[in-house]
This record gives sequence, structure tokens and C-alpha cells, in this order.
Amino acid sequence: MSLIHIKQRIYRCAIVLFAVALSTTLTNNAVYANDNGSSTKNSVETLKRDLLELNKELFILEEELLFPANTQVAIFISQDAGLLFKMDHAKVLLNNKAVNYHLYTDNELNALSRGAVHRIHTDNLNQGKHKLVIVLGGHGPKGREFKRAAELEFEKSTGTQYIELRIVANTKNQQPEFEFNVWD
Amino acid sequence: MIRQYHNKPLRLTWYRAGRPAPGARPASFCGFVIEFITQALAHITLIFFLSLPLLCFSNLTRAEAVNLIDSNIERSHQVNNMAYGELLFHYYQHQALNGITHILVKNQHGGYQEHQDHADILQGALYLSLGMTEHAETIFTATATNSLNPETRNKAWIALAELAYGQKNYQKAKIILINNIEALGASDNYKQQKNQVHEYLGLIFLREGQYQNAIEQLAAINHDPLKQRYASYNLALAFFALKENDNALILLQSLLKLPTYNAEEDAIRDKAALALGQHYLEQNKPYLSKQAFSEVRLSSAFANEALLGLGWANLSRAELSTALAPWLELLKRDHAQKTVQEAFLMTPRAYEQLNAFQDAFSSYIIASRVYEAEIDHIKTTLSYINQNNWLEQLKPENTQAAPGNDFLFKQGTESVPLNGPEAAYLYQLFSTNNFNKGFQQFLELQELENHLTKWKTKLPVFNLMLENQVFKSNALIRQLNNKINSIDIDKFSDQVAELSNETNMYTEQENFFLLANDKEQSILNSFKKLEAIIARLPNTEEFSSIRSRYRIIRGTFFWNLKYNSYRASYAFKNELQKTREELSKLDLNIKNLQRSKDIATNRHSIHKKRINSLELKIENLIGRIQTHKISQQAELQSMANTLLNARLTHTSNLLAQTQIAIARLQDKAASGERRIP
Repeated sequence: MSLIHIKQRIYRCAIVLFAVALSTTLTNNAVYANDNGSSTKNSVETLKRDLLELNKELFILEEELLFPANTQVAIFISQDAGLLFKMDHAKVLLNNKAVNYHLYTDNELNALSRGAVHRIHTDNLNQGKHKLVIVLGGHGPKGREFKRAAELEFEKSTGTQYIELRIVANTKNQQPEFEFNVWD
Repeated sequence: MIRQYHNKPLRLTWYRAGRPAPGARPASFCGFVIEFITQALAHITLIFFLSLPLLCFSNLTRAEAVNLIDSNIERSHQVNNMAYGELLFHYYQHQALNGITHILVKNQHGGYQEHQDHADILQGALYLSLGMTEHAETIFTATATNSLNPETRNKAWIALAELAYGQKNYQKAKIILINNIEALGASDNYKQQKNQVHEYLGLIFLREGQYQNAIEQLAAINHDPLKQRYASYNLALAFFALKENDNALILLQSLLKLPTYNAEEDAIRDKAALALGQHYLEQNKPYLSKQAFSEVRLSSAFANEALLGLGWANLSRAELSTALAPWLELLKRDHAQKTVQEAFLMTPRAYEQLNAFQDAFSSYIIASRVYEAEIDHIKTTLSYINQNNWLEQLKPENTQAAPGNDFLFKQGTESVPLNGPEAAYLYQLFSTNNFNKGFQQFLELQELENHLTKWKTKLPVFNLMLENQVFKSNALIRQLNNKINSIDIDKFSDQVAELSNETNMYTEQENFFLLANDKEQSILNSFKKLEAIIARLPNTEEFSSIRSRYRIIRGTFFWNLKYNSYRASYAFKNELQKTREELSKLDLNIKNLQRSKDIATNRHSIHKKRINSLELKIENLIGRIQTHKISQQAELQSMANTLLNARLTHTSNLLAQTQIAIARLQDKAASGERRIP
């Protein structure tokens, strides 16, 4: 057997020994990591629970401070117009003053098409009569540019008031239609 | 959607490292080639063994579980409640944190009324998407037990089974699915639910080695083409396990014949082609194996394995030169990939067999250089990942951009930047379930910390708003106090009491003259004047008619006056009563205002306390999040170290084999067997 062969065998043995030693070390590390992982998971879940609780408290506090129940008015948009109207944007005017503008993303439109409702604006209003105008822009039947305003005069009562603008399909004239619903 | 390949039986029945493959050529082919094939099949087995889990969705990911529930929710109902519609708006946009917060707030304020059942299911799904499995389980269990709607109960049971399956508690998942799903006729929702049940049970039976049961379950899936493709693949695995190879082959071949319309279907087709190629190679049918491997797309995630296999199929047909072509193609690919590294070793060995010793020698030299470079690369990567801010650097830059897109919901490696010095080696790590979950957890913690930091910046604004409200309220209270102080209720009450006494006195005395109004008083005065004039008139017959008329008029007036006085007295008493009531109301209003004033002051003080308390909670949570982030990073670094060290060992082994081969060639050259330059 030549010297080269002996060297090769020694080299192979060295590699095997190194691999065995390394894999043992790594296995130990992996076991430690898994045990640690289980307890970390539980404590992270507790942490998330605490965070959600805190988030809820902050959210309620924010709403109480910003929009007290007796003056709050919330405006929603929902859509059930199928392919007759692809909304692009909406602009909200309260008492002839522009208060909000929203450009819709594909995700939002997808959510709306699946029955979701978008709270486009929340405001404080005194009791009495008010005027709401929502200007909607987008694409109507056959992809034509479409822009229309929906107007509502309403009486603000003492409690929180919800106003929904529903965009529905009129299958007879193949046009989108706009309906307001008001809840106290 | 459940996407699972169950490949364990194949791993066990196919090639095994360290011994010739069942279909390897007999010894007549020459000793070296057998050793070569054996060794290479060991490599190829190892590669397949390591690479299959990349596409083996053995654990249901959170996004998949949520998508499944998502599809159930979508089909089921009309939205008749603004709050519920708003919740769906968060849900469909994968805004988990906003969605759960919405539910928690709404549940505190009366819930979602008629949509409460669905909202509960969504809550469970959202908890699941946030990785809060215990909370999700609690919600689903409550819904499954309490809901009055059988379809909702089924949804909840399936969601619970998914959870158990995801936690690898297959027995529990099986019991849930067998015992609790109710038959609901022929509705689309129920068909979908039935498919889900068959799919889960099929996978569980596969895992338990009950292949006949698995076949029954998987074969029952229908009305869902994509699910049926997955089922076909898994059915093929079950048939292989039962040694019913013909049935398995029919299924895999049918998958190859189906047209594909998206990446998911392409991936299933590639996977089926790869499985077929491996099977034929094992069965010593290299021609069929070659055909099957050729079906795998070059751009596929399985292309490297297919190219390696294709080379082997050619080699098995003693087509050494054609075996080189796919391996040479592999050499152009990413050197960090195991299959590519294998090809670097296989190529010079093939040259050696073709007696192209010069090419073999130079290829071994190139391979050894590549391995050395990769070893350096791995070492650099190891030192890179052990930096303290490694995960921070891995974080995708756009996580905070995308308004309205909650990062907490994102899943999978698409969120991981696959560039930078560590990316090539960590690509496989990113694809593993454990690392991906851990990294997702880290990103979630990061995002939660950002979320809390945003709230923290809002708190001073809240304080300012509160101060403004207190200021305005104080001004109102001052005005109110002035008004209240200017009203002397007691004085009014005394006056009313005095008037009341007088009225009673007049009524008792029946002195109706006192109740005459101004006009009547004026008439009475006129009567007095007239009476004085008439008294002065001579008492003659001439004036007696005047006196008589006067008496009639006076009598009529007095009669009217007396009659009216009762009505006036009654009206006056009524007025007095009303005045008393108004005074009482005024008194009550003043008391209410004073109470409201106290409530407002108290509310401001409570708000102030709440803000201070929330500020402390935020600080505390941020501290806890940071601690978790550190431990999470350490855990992920440990995983990465494990993987990289394994790769280091593997590449070192390849380098050693290359060096041995170089030494062997040099040795042969030195002993005069071959001429090596």
C-alpha cells in the first residue's frame, strides 16, 4: 500500500470522526432549541393576549376621547354592484365641507365585493339637521368612467348614528344605484 | 386549502444510502461504476430526502388554515350588520390585529347579534393567524359545542381538527372528524366540508400507515379539481406503499396528462414527474425514468433534482456521454445548491469513465475550488448570522409600507429577502417550517413593538385632548355655576306659596270681586262712579227707569263676575300648580347639572388615570417584547448554525472526496497507469 493510500485513509477517518462529532454537537443544540421553543411559544401567546387586551383598552379610550357616543356619526360604504361598478375612490362632504377622501385598493375592493363594509369616516356632529354628500368615482358598465354624487339630509339624534351608503346593481337598466340606510 | 404531499413511505421504500439501489446494474458493468452508482444513488437519495420537505406541506400553515375558514365564511351568509361588515373588512384584508381588536371591543359592547356565530369563527381564525393556537382552540370548541347552526358547528369542528393536525396530534384530529361532523344534505358548503374531512382523514391514515383506509378517504374527494390533483398524488403514494405499483403509476401518469393553468398545478405535475422518474429508476427502467424526468420544467423548484436524476437515468443506460449533459447544465446553476454540488463531483467521475482523464482532472480541480469557495462562503455566512442584528437585517424593507396591509398575516418565504451573503445558504432554511414559523414570530413581535410604539406616541396627544376637554368643561361649569347661582329657587317658592294662600283665602271668603281681572275691575270702578251719579238724581218717576236699567245691568255683571270667578279661581290654581311643578323641575335640573358636573370632573380624572396606567402597560409590554425578540433571535441563530454547520460538513466531505479523486488520478499517473498532465 502506497503512502498516498495510507494518507487518504487517515484523511477519510478524520473526516468521518469530525462529521460524527459535529453531528452530535448539532443534535444536542437542536434538542435544546426545541425545548426552549415550546416554552417560548406559550409565553409569546401570553404576550400577544396581553397586547390584544391593551390594544382594546387603547382603542376604546381613543374612541371615547375622539368621538363621544352622543355626538358620533359613522359613515359606511358597502357594495353589491357586481360588475356594474368598480369603485376607484370616494369623497365625503359633511355640511358642504370635504372631510374625507379615500382611494380604494384592490384588497379593499375585494373585501367589499365579499360582503364587507368600509367605515369611510367618523365625525362629531351636534343634534339637528345635517347634509351628507358622498362623491363616488370609478368605472361603470363596459369600463366607462363613472362619477356620481349621493346626497342625504339627516337629523342627528342624541346617540351614535350610523349611515350606510349601499351601492347596488340595477339589473333593469344595467346601472349602479345608491341607497342610504340610517341607523340610530 | 390543504396542500400536502405525504412522501414518507416513498422515502422508506426507495433508495437507501449506503447500499446499491434495487435496480442497480449487476457487477458485470465494472466494479467502479457499481461503486459510483451506489455512492451517487446514496447522494441522490440524500438530496431527495432533504429536498422533498421543501414542498411537503406536512404541517398546515396558519395562512392555509385561515384560508380554509375564509372560504367557508364567504359562501355562507348575507351581511346585515354594520359592525360585522366592518369586521369582515379587516378580516378579508388579513388585518388580524385590527380584526381581533374589533371583536374584543364589540363583544364588550353587545356583540354582533345575528352574526355572532360567524364572528366567533372569524375570531378563532384570526387568533390562529396570529399564532395564538390555544385561544383559537378555546373559541372553536365553544362554537362547536354551543352553536345552534349545524353548518357552523361543522366549520368549528373542522377548524379544531385542523388545529390538532397542525399540532401533529393526529389521533385527536381523527376522532374529531369521525365523531362530530354532521351530514347536511347536498349543499355546496357541505360538499366542501366533506372534501376537507376526507382529505384530512386520508392524510392521517397515510401517516399512520393505514393505506387502505387512506385510499378510501382520498378517493372520496370530488367536485374540487385542485383538491383531486393533490388527492391523486397522495393516492399514488398509498398505492406504492401497498406495492400496487400499477395503480400508483396510472395516477401519476394521469397527473402528467392533465393540462395546467397555474403555478400550483404546475408544481403538482412536476412533483408527479419527479416521483415517476424516481420510481422507474428504482425499477431499473432508465428509458422511462429519463422520459419522466424530462417532463419536469427547467424553471421548476424540482428542476435540479430532475436534472441529476436524468443524468443517472442516462448513466444507467450506459450512456455516459449523455449523462454529462444534464449535469453540465446543473453546473451553471447556483453553486450553493446541494444538487449542483453533487453534479460537480459526478461530472468528473463520468469523464473518468469515458477515459477523458484530462477533463476529469480539470473538472475535479474546478470542483475542489468550488467547494473551497463554498466552504469560505459558509464560514462568512456563519459569522454573518451570529451578529446581534442579523434578523433586523433580514427584515423585509417594505413591511411598514403597504398601508392597510397587516404584516402579521403574511406567511411564507416571500417575506424574506433572498439576497445578501447569507441568502443562498439560508434559502433552504427559510423554506423549512420551523425556521419560517420562528422568523414569522420574530416579525410579528417586531410589528407588535412598532404598533405599541405608535400607541405610545399617541398617548401625549390623548393627554392634550383631555386637557382641552377639561379646560372647555371647566369654562362650561363656571357658566353653569353663574346661572345656577343667579336662580333663587327659594324666593320663587315663597312667592308661589303666598299667592296660593291668597287664592285659598279669597275662595273661602267667596269674595269674587277680588278675583276680577283688570277689565272687570275697571267696569266695577265705572259702576261705583255711575252709582254715585245715580244717587244724586232726584227720586222721581222720570229717573226710576234709569235706576231700574242700572240695577239690571249691575246685577247681570255681578252674576257674570261671580260665575267667572269660579273659573278664574280654578284656572289660577292650575297655573299655580304648574308653576310649582316647573319650579320642582328646575330644582331637579339644577341638581342634575351639578351631578353631571361632578361626573364630568370624575370622568376626566378616570381618563387621566387610564392614560397613565396604559402608558405603564405599554412600557411593560415593549420590554417583554424586546426580551422575546432577543430569545427568538438566539433560537433562529441556533437553527441557522445547525443547518450551516451541516452544510459545512457536507461540503467538506465533497471536497475530501474530490481531493481523494485528484490524489487517485495523480497516483495513477505517477504509477504510469495513466498520463495526467
